[in-house]
Amino acid sequence: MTTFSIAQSLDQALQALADGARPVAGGTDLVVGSRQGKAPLPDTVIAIDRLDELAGISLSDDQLRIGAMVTHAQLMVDPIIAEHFSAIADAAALVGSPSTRNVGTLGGNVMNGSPAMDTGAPLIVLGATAELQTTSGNRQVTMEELWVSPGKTSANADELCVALNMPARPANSGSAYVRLEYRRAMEIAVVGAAASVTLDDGGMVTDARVALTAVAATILAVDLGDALAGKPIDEASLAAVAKIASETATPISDLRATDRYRRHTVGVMARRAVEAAGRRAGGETIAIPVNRTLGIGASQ
Amino acid sequence: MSQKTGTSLGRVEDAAFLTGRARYIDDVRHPLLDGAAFVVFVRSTMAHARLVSVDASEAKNAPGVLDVVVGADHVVHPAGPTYGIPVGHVFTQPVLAETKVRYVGEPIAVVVAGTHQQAVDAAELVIVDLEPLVPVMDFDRALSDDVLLFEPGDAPQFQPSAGDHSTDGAENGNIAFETSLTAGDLNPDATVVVSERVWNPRQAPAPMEPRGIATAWDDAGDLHVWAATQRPHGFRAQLAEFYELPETNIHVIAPEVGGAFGGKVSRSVEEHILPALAQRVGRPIRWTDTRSEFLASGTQGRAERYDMTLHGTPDGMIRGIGVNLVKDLGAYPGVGTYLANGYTIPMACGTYDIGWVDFSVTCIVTNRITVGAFRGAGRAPYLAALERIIDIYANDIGMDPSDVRRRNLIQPDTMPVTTIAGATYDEADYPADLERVLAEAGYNDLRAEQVERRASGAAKQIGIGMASYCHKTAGGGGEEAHVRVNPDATAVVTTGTTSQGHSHATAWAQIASDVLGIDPANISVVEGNTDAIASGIGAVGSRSLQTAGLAIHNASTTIAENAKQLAAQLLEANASDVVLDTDTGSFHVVGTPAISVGWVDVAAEMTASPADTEGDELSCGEYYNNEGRDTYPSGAAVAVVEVDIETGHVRLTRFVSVDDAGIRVNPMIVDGQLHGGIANGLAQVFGEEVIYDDDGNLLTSNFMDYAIASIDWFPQFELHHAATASSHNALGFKAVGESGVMAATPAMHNAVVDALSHLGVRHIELPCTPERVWQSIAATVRTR
Ligand SMILES: Cc1cc2nc3c(=O)[nH]c(=O)nc-3n(C[C@H](O)[C@H](O)[C@H](O)COP(=O)(O)OP(=O)(O)OC[C@H]3O[C@@H](n4cnc5c(N)ncnc54)[C@H](O)[C@@H]3O)c2cc1C
Repeated sequence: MTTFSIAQSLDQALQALADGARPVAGGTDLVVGSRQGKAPLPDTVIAIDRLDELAGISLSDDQLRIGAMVTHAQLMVDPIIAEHFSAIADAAALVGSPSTRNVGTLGGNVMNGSPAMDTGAPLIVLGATAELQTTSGNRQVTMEELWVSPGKTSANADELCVALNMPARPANSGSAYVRLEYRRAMEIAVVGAAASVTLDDGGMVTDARVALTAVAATILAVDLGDALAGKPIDEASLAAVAKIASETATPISDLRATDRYRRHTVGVMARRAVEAAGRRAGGETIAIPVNRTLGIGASQ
Repeated sequence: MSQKTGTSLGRVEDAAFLTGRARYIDDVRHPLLDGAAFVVFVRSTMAHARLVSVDASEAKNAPGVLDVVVGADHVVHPAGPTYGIPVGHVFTQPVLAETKVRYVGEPIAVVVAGTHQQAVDAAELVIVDLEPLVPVMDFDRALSDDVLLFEPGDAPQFQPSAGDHSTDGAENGNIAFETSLTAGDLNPDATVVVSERVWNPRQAPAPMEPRGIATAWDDAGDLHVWAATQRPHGFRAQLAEFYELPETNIHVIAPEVGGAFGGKVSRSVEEHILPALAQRVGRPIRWTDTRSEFLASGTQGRAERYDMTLHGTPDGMIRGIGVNLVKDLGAYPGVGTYLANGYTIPMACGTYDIGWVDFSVTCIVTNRITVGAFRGAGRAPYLAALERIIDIYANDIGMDPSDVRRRNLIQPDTMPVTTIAGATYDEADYPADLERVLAEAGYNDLRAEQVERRASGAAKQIGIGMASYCHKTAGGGGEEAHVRVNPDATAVVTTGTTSQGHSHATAWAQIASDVLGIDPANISVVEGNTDAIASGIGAVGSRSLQTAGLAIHNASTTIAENAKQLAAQLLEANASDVVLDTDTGSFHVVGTPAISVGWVDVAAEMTASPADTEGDELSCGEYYNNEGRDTYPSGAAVAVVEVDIETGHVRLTRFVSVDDAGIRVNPMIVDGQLHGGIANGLAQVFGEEVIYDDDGNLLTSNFMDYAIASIDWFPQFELHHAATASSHNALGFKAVGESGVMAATPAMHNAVVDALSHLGVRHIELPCTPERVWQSIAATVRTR
C-alpha cells in the first residue's frame, strides 16, 4: 500500500525524503511506469508540485535557473528558453503529447535518468548542472556526473532536485536539438542529438558541443576534438562531426532499430543539430521544434 | 435542405459519441448483471509447449475466488473451425489448453473472483508446468513439416455434440488447407517474366474498445449476453450450438461497439467460456480485456506471403499472373481460412484484363495468434502484391507505371464482366478513374519535379506511386430489415446487421426517409439485439448497405403502398390515384396536392378500421438476398512521398484518390469511411506490423511497440468521387467500408520504391520503416 502526501513547504518535502519518501512531480514516469509493471509504486510518495522554490524560470546576468517543476509545456514556449536556450525548447516540444507536456517536468525528466530522455542532450551542451538539496545542504552536480546508467543517477535518495542551472549564453551562440522519430507524438527517440555553437564575427566556430540521445547507457557528451573549433560550419566540418558522433555512440539493437542504424543516424542527427545551431548562432530564427523545419519526423 | 439519399446529413449518433453518453460494454448496467464476478485468464508464456500440469489448488483458496477452471474440467464444448471450411477437427482450439499450448497468450486456466483485483492476484497462484517444444515461426519451417503443430490424436478430447464439423480436411500437420485455380491461356507473346516475393505482414485490428462481454443466466434458464461483437446473431448461433440451447433462449445484445475492423467477427475462446463460468458460480460475469491482452490473444489480419510472377510483353501488355500464396492462419485456423476461396482467388485479375491466371494457396499454422478478418481481408493483401508486381514490371521494361496500367485496365463498355478468375464485376470506369486521379494529382508535374530533385542530389527525394483497385463485397448475400411507422408518424428501422461506427443510424434513416417521406430525425434505428429481429449476418466485408439497405428500401416501399390504400379510403379515391409526396410525407390524389392526409391520419385509419385490413399494414419485414450479385467498389489513388535518403525516413506529402462507391446515401459518411480505410492501409507502409521473436514471444504488445497509426503520419487526403450505379441491385449501391485500404497500401508502397528507383532499389518489404528503407539504399550502394 502506498502512502501519498502533498508537501506544503520545501522543508517538509526534504524531511519526507530524509525519511525515505520518493518525490513525485508530474508522475508521467513514476506512475505510468508502475502501471506498466516496471516497478511498483514506492511505499511513501510525496508530491512536490506546490513548492514555489521549484517553480519558474529566471535569467540573471550570468546564469539561467529553471525550477525543477517547470513543465515541458512551459519550456517550449518560454521566450527566454526559445530564444537563448533553444535546444531545450526543441526537446520539450517533442515530449509525448500535449497532456504529457502539461504535467511532465524538467526535474522529473532529469531525475528519471532515461538514456532516451529528450532534454538531456540539450542540458549537456548548454553546460547545465543539477541543484540537489537535502535537509542539511545543497550541491551542484554536472549532468555527466548525475547520470550513471539507465534509470540510475548519482543523487542520494534524500536529495531533491530543486533546479537546473546553466551559464548565460555568450553572444553569437545558438543551440538545437533534433530527434529521429517514427511518429510525431507519443514517441521515444530512436536517436537524437543536441548541439551548441558559438561563432566569432567572421563566422568561425569558437565553441561547439554535441551530445547524443539513445545511443549509450546515458546521454553521451561527444568530444569533438578540433573538428569544429576555429573552422566554418561547412560540408567538411559537418562530415567530421557526423563521423565522430557515429564513432562515439555505443548503441544497442532493439525492436525499434538495430545498433548499426542508430550508429549511422546519430551521425546524421548530430550534423543536422550543428547545422541548425550554427544557423541560429548566425542570427537566423528557426521555429521550435527545429525537427519540423528540417523535415525530420512525421508528415504534418 | 434535403435529407435524402445523396445528402451529407449530419450523423444522428454523433451527439452521444461526442458527449460520452454512448454506452459500451463496460457501461452496461442491468439488474441481471448486479453483483457480477470478474475473470482473469492464466495464459501461456510459451509459444509451443506440452502442457504437463496445471495446479490451481492454491488459487482456489485465495481470497474472493469463486472458481478456477482448467482445460481438463471440460466446462463447455470447443468450437471447431467454422464457415464450412474443410479443415480437420484436429485444428480445433480447446477452450482452455488441454495437452499443448500453441501461442503465447493461449488461455490455460481462468480464475473467477468477486473483484477484478482478487482475480488478478489469484491468477498469479496458478502453477503451470510447460515442457517446451520447438516453436514454428518461420513460414518455410512450417511448410517443411519438420515440427508439427498438430499431431495425430491432438484433437481436443471434448468434442462438440452438434453442428457441422467437417472432418474431410487434413488431420495433422502444419497445412490446414490448400486450394488453387488455373484458368485461361497464356499468350505466347508474353516474353517478359517478372517475379518478386511480396510480404504482407501481420497487422492488428486496433479498435479503441477491445473485446468485452457481460453475461448472466436468468431464473427461467435463459442466457443473456452483452458483447462487443460485429455479429450478434452469429454469436448467438454459436452459443446455441455449444451450450445446446434453442436460439430463442439466448439473448445477445451488442451495445455501442467501439470499433472492430474485423477483430470482433469471431467469438474467441475467452468469450465462449464465460457463460459456462457464470453458470458454475451462479453469478453474472463481466470481462473486458486490456489492450495488451487484445494484442496478444485477439485475432489479427494479413500475414500473407506472395510469390508473384507477371508474364507480359515487352511493350506493356500483361498476359498472365502466377501467384503462390502462403497464408499464416496462426495457431488455430479461423475465418482467415475461408478467405482464399471466397475472396482472394476471385480477385486474381484486379482491375485488369488478364488472359491467364495460375493461383495456388497454402494455408499454414504457426505458433502465433489466429488470423481472422481485418478490414480488406482476403483482398487488400493480394491487390497490394499485384499492384507492386505491376510497378516492378513497368520498371523492368522501362515504361511509366501509368502507361502500363492504361494499356491493361478493363474497359467500361465490357461491363458487367466476368473475369477468368470467376468474379463478375459490376459497372465502373477504371480507366477514367485512373486518368482523373493522375490529373488531380498533377502527375506530369510531379514527375518533372522528381527529375529536378534527382538532378540536385538532395537528401530528400520524392517518389510517386499509384494503384488501381476493385474489390468483392456483399459476401453472405442477404440481410433482413424491419420497418414500422408509428401512430405519431415516427418510424423505427430494425436490422440484424449492426454498426460499430458505420453510421447506420443516419444512413438507414435516410434510406427509409426517401421512400416514406418521414424526416430522418423522426426515424430511429434499432440494431445489435437478437430479440429485435430474427436474423442478421453483420457488418463485415463491406456488406450492410447493399443488403440491409435494400431490405429497408423494400420494406418501406411495401408500407408506402399499404399506406396509399389507407389514404385512399380517407381521400375517398382510388388507391392507384393516390401519391405519397416524399418531400412532405403527405398523401394526395394526383393533381390535387391541396387536399392531403398525413401519416398520422393514415395510422389512425388503420386502427379505426381493423375489419378492412389484414393486420398491421404500417409494419413490414423484408429479407433481401442479392443472389450472388456481389458489388465491386473501385477506384485509383496516387501517393507522393518524400524519402530522406540519409535516414530512410518517409514522409507522405500527398494522397489523392478517386473512389467509386456506387450511389452514395450520405457522401460525408462515405468520406469518413474512406479516411479511416486509407489511414489503415497507409499504416501498413509506415510501420504497423505485429512482430514475434524467433521464440514466439510477441514483441508488439502495446501501442508503444506496435506502431499504431498516428494522425501526424497523414496529410489531408484529397478525395474525389465517381458514383457509378451498380446494376447488381435496384438502388445502384456498391460499398465503401474497406475501399480506402485497397489502393492506399500499394500506392504508397510503390511511391517509396519509386523515390529510390534511380538508386537501383527494386523492392522494399512492408512496412517501409526508416531502417528498412535505409538498408535498401545501403544495399544498392554496396552492390554498385
Ligand atoms: C505518454 C508518454 C510519453 C512520453 N514521451 C516522452 C518523450 O517524448 N521524451 C521524454 O524525454 N520523455 C517522455 N516521457 C517520459 C516523461 O514524461 C518525462 O520524463 C517527464 O519529464 C517526467 O517528468 P515527471 O514530472 O512526470 O516525473 P515523475 O514521474 O514525477 O518522476 C520521475 C522520476 O524522477 C523523480 N523525481 C521527480 N522530480 C524530482 C525532483 N525534483 N527531485 C528528485 N527526484 C525527482 C521521481 O521520484 C521519479 O523517480 C513520456 C511519458 C509518457 C507517459
